[in-house]
Amino acid sequence: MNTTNVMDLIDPSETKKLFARRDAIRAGVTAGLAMGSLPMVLAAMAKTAGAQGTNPTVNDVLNFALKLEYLESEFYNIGTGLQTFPAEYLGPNGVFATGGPPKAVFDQIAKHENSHVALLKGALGAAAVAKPNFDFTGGKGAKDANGKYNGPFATVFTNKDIFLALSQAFEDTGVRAYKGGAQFLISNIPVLETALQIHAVEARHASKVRRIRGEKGWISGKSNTLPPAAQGVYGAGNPASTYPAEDNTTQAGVNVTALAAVSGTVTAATASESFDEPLDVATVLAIAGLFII
Amino acid sequence: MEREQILTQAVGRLQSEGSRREFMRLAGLLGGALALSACGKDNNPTSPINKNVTLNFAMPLDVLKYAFALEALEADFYTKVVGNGSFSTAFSSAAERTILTDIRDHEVAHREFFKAALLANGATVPALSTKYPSSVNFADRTSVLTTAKTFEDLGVSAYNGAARYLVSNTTLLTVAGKVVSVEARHTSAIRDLLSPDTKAFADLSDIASIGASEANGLDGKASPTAVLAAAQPFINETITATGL
Repeated sequence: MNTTNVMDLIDPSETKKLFARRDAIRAGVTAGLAMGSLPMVLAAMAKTAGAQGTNPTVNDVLNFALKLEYLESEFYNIGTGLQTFPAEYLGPNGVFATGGPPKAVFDQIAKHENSHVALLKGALGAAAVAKPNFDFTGGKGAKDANGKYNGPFATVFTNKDIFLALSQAFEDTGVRAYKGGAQFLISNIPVLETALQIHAVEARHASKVRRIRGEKGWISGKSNTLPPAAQGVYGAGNPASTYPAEDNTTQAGVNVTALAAVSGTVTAATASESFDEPLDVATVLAIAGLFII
Repeated sequence: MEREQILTQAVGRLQSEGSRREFMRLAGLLGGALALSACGKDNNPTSPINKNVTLNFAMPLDVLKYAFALEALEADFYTKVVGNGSFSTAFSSAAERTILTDIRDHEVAHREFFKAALLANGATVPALSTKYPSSVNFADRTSVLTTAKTFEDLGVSAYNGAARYLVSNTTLLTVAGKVVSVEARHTSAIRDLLSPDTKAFADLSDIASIGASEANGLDGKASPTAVLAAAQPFINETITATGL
């Protein structure tokens, strides 16, 4: 049984002080005194997160986000026909042929991703990175004899199932990426809030795409129906202690599976579904890199 | 602590005749309301005292109490939805029942998590109880889903608007981020049940009042004051935000 609690995140000297404080509270010391010093204890909880190497700057995080948004927007623009179908892909575009997914859903997603690109480019101005060249077949631009990208997802725009699987991978990765980036935006509250507002929209998208694919809208453990090449979407980042895999069941030192549920205690599945996990920049870029030439 | 202050205020109120009527009204309300959570001796659902709660957003632990309050309200709502005698007739689709049951379980886990985090840090857990306007009909699918949509959209806006009070603590900021995206997944599913396979799952134009922008593809973001005003009709105790 995992007996770790929030206390363990605090360094020993703080823990000692806190215990002394808790005793004081029990002894009836006034609330003003006890409560006033608690934020200091919570601040100590953050010590591990801030201690690792050089943190990305606000612009680094925004450019990182912009890369992902470029990827998503081009993917959906091709899929929904907002963009002329590129000759490099196997065609014709069959994603929304009869029996395909509801196009209104993806028109809405494409609209949002294009808005996000515009918003981030506007915020970054001259510091914005250029749009990378993408190969959504995952082949890094390699082509067959007919000049078509021929990576492992060569039928991405002719086979709706491949398109939907990649859509789920991109949306769930986007959610993890913004979540992981948020901690590096604390010096700029308007930017932090905007990033979180985008983050939640990506989660709305992810939920719907997952449900179209027959999965739950929420991530349950690490089990999923994505192709093997996309499994990293739900895996741990680096370091795993800060960026755990999606089947993580311990939050801020609290073992969620030990908590009371409607009946018994919270199951591992519910514990993982109830909390989405962040992912670090390098791991996200490694996933996205599969589609960047 | 807070309790003594509240007690003093309550005794003062009860000394007047007018307040005696209020006492009876509150006793009736609280008697009928299910306590939001088991918070030990702080929470006495039969108490006639309507404990008002003040949250100081300058203190991260009070932001956790805010999150607890919102999650407790959601957990209570879905527990009543799934526990209602008409659940399987109001929701004839097994898939829809699974979605609502999953969401109930998530909100209960969120509530219990914030409670555990508060207790582990030596903080008190606010004692809160719910009430529902007569417009909420737990036996009616549309009423349930419409109310759920309101709660989930509000929850997303609440977390996004509270992030600025957690910048001193990236651990809590990240935890809030882990929860808010799950709330966003919920609202996507709920909205899709109301209007399947349309843009409704992520149509941000109908939540502009809580900070969303469809034009910019931005979800909601609302101040604690705005969120608490929206949640207040569902909570007996008055929750006041300070330190904003």
